[in-house]
Amino acid sequence: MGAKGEYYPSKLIGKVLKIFCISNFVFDMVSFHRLLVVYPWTQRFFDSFGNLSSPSAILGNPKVKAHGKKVLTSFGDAIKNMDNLKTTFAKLSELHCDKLHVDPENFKLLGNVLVTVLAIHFGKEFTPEVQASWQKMVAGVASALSSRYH
Amino acid sequence: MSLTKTERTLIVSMWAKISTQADTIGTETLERLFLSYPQTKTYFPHFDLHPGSAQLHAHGSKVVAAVGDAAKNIDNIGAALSKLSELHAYVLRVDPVNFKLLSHCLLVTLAARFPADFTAEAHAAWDKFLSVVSSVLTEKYR
Repeated sequence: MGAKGEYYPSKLIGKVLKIFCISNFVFDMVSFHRLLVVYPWTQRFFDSFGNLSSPSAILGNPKVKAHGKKVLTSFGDAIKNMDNLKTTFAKLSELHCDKLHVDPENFKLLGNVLVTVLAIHFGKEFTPEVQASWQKMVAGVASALSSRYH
Repeated sequence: MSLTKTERTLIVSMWAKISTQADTIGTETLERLFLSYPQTKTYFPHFDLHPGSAQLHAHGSKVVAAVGDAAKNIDNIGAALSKLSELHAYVLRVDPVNFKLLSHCLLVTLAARFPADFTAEAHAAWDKFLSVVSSVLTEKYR
């Protein structure tokens, strides 16, 4: 991270980003679905989603799919605005605080699930250096999303 | 938080696969930890932490061996890791927040090396298992 808190995407992260953008529908579904399976208490925000009673129910749930797409599209926005995360996520931050009442801890959980999903898909290519770049990214997003909490 | 029968079976069967790469998994986990969370290096001022360092390799092996002990004694992790628990409480005194960071890096290492095995259920089981191990290692802190 630079002196003013801006990010320096290395060419390593660049490669992964390209692939992320092309196939982000995979990451949408998989990461959000995994969050609800690995950390079942995160389901508390999704009472209206219907059947979340098992991993396969979660996987097949159309509302989970749709919401996963929404959330991960936001991550795409983050990637395009890496030097400006706080501004990019200002409105979303207010929404998560005032309307959705989401504990910011959950942003960290999703970030780490996303990192794990990337590791599964990229295997050896997801080197420690690439992971470190992504950890900074997801930490930045989590921080930006909690920046308007009061 | 205790592990279900299904979760224990998952961990034990995966461990059989993992143990064949135990040493390199340990080294990679620590490399990931020190790169993503540089503050964790503060616990190792006496180590050469460059990639390829013998100390890194030795310590990585130790860490994964301990996880293995827990997996092999999954019905009584507390007893299996009792000495290690005392070591962490009275000697090492690693701040509890760091166990989560190490656990995450181990999970990422396993996910990268065993993608087909790392289903959502396996991911959940491992996260829970490492959380139990972390609890055992910090239970004597105060």
